[in-house]
Amino acid sequence: MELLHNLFYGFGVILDPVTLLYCLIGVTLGTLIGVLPGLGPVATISILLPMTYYLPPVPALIMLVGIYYGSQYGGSTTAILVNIPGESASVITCIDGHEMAKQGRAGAALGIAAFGSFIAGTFATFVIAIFAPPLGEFALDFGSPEYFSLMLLGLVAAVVLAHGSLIKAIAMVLIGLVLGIVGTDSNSGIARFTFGEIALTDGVDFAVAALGLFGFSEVMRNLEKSEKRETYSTRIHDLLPSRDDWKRSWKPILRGTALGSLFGTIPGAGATISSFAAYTLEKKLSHEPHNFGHGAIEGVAAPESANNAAAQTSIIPLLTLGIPGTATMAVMLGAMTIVGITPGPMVMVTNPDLFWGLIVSMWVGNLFLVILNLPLIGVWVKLLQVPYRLLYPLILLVAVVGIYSINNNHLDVMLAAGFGIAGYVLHKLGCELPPLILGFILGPLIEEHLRRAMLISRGDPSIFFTQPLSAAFLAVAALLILMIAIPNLRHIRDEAALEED
Amino acid sequence: MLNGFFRSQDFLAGVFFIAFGCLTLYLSAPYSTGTAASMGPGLFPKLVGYLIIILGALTVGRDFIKRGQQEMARIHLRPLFFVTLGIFIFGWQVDRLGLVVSTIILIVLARIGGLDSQRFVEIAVLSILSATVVSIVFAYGFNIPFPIFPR
Amino acid sequence: MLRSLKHVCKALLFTAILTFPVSVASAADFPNKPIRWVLGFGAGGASDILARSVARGLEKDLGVQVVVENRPGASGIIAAGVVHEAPKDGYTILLLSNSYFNNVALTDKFDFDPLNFEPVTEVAATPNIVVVPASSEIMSIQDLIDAAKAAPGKLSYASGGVGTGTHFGTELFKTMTDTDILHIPYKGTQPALLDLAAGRIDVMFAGASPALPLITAKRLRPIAVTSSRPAAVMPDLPPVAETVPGYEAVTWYAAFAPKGTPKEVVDRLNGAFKAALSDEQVVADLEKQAFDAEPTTPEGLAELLATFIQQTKETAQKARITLEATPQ
Repeated sequence: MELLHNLFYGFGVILDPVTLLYCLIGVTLGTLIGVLPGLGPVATISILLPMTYYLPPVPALIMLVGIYYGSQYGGSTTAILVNIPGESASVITCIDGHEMAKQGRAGAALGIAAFGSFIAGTFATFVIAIFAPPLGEFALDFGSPEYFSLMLLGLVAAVVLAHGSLIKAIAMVLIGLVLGIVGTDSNSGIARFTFGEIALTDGVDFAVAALGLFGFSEVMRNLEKSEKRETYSTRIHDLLPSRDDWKRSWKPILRGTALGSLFGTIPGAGATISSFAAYTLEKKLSHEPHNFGHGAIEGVAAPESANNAAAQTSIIPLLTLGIPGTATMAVMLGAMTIVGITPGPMVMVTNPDLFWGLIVSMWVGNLFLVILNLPLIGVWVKLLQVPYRLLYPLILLVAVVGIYSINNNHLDVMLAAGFGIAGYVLHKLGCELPPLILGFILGPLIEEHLRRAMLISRGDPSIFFTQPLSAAFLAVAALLILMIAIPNLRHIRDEAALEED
Repeated sequence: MLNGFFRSQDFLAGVFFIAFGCLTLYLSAPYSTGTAASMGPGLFPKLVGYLIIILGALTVGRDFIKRGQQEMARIHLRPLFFVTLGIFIFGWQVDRLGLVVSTIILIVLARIGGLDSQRFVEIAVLSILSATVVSIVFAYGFNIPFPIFPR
Repeated sequence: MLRSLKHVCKALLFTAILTFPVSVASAADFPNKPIRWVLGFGAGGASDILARSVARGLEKDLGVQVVVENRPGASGIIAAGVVHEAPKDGYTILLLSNSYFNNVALTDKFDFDPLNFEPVTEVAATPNIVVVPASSEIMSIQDLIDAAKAAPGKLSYASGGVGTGTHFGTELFKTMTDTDILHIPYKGTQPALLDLAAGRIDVMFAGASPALPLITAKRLRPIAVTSSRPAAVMPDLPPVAETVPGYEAVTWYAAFAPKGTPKEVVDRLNGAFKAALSDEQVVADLEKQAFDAEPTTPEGLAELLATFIQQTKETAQKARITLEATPQ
């Protein structure tokens, strides 16, 4: 009952017209920057940070957090429409989402992403309201051994993502690992693989690699056949998900939401891990796993729900421990200190209007997002009807400007051009890019945590098995490997048997 | 026959993996390997480098057994060259030429890379319009420190 | 169509001429156009907030816009490179922290002379706080020294990265007290604090601003500050120097202009900083982030730099810290 009372209190805060307006501004702006690749919520929130000096604190913070989860909505739009993942969590959405768009089902993909995100957002709001304190403790349970084992599990899962050759997929993951560790090694301070270039000492930004590998190479591939294809998809059916789509999607949405809510609280790579954990789970549970990668709606519904839920629960470590789990949350922490609030467990007591207002605003903001995005789907789908010869120069332009804006560094753009070539050629070689990009994200984390865990344990590897959480992750990883290996072995055995005949 | 093998997709992919692995090993040679308790910056890349080489060899080997089933898809040089060049020049020169000129170069080169590059008026209008919009939105709206005109 | 295009071209040309930088910068009418302030920090962090607060104070005094420009990366080396190439007219200035000068002391990864700048003023400083997990038995600096001496190499400390202030501050402490504490580097202070709060690490000399939430939440216990005097953020906390005489390691920020900027312009900027850093609103903003305003003269900053780099080199030598690859 106290929960209901608190939620009503939160509604009281958010239903103030001024606050409501700022919430709307936040999510609208978030959608916009989410759609534009490269421009991320971190940069946008930082630019708006000075506004918090002039605004009352609660509406200001509600607006800033609205930008964050609004951008998660927007990010999936670009992924689905033009195969450009704006942030790491939408890499997975590209796989089946863009395939759906090519088949003329962009509307259904966008629709299920929006509804899935809304359901996930609603659920995550309640999770934060009820379980914030214990989930904060969960974040504390994650030491380096746990991170290492979880990331290893993630890499194994990344291999499951591939639908072609297993060996090539593993090689791609490893190539991603190498590209990911370019830059200053956090354990020794030594710059690796930077060729003496100062700009590379902080490593290659995710968006640089992703926009090059996915976005640029996709444009080049489309230009090969532009005489045949005037527009992306000539026919569009169903602007919204059909009854059958819903039947296929509702379970993946719920499972994705649960995974996302839990993983979102882990500082670091929560949103990314949860989105492809959700995808892998659906592919494994599906009766038609061969559909994945060829426009399966479950492959959009699950990861989209997961990353939106994770985006919201990622605020838990900030609210309960005062520790930001993501770069965006670090900026939120800055915003809170500007308005004179010390984040942490005391916020609930000292600033209940902020705490409950923020939580309820997330649900209201998600409602705004659905209302805002549903009519927009029609607009986006129309965008695909624009002649491709007009569309692709603009895609390139927006991508290039977005890349520049990450660090205000022109070298990033030149680097992305190189990634474009790599993406194009690798595709021709039949190598899949999603495993590479996941290796790129997880590689540096795996190395960092492996080395730190070994430092802390003074060189004793048993630390990975004696910590219960870590041991559990390793066990699941081993299980997954078996599940991948056995069908392959059986396949080889069958082939051998055939040849003997 | 031999020619077909060298154009096989998996053979070329495997060769690429082996080359990438060797490059990784070569570049990580200066970094120390360290000990179990204090792993050096070289351990991880070297390990991964060897693994990539092994996987590359496996890919080539398997292809050899299967006798190069699938030929590598054709690389179209025109879009690859011009689109990349446009992006590269934008990155290389935007700090000097400014947003407007760089945008026009990018769009013109991108259009040369595609078919249909003869519609001069359309390309002119498209590049000038987008240069204007992008300058207003990004340089003023989002306050990204691009120079707008050449300096 | 063609005519209107011609008009557009004319207009473009005209604007281009108008905005072309007029290089005859006379010191007398400085400043008469917006000033670019380049930072080596990403938008939204404590350092960024510091600069933006001070910039508003500068605007009040100088009467022109001060545009903060983020060029994050490589401990400020990228930002320094940008300003190094800028015109020497005072319209482009730079903010750096001590991390940059750690790199100056320890590496040769610069492709320009890293000290080729005109010092303008120190801007602000923030102390580090020595924190231990709430469950720890260490109550004071003396306890820490005793525990470290009793079991050399058994205690571990966290830092926000190799070559950062949280690393050097602790190494300085180790050399001054002749103790052996294992260094566990993290990517930034926040993840380090989490592991500290969970009790996986024994101690950290952490930045005051990021440590405060966990201290108020009673998950971390502060035992000392690294400034030579008690700090405004936690006035009751004793300085490390009470136990280890002469110890001081704070994080500081300073402003620079390109080498060759006229003396009058540097002095004008210095005056503007002095005014901004005594502005009530600015000081209050800085306090929220645990920064103390510390304006100096250009000469004072030059002196501070020389001492700092010397000390860093000595500490690095004693603690055997390198940031360069060493083939085995």
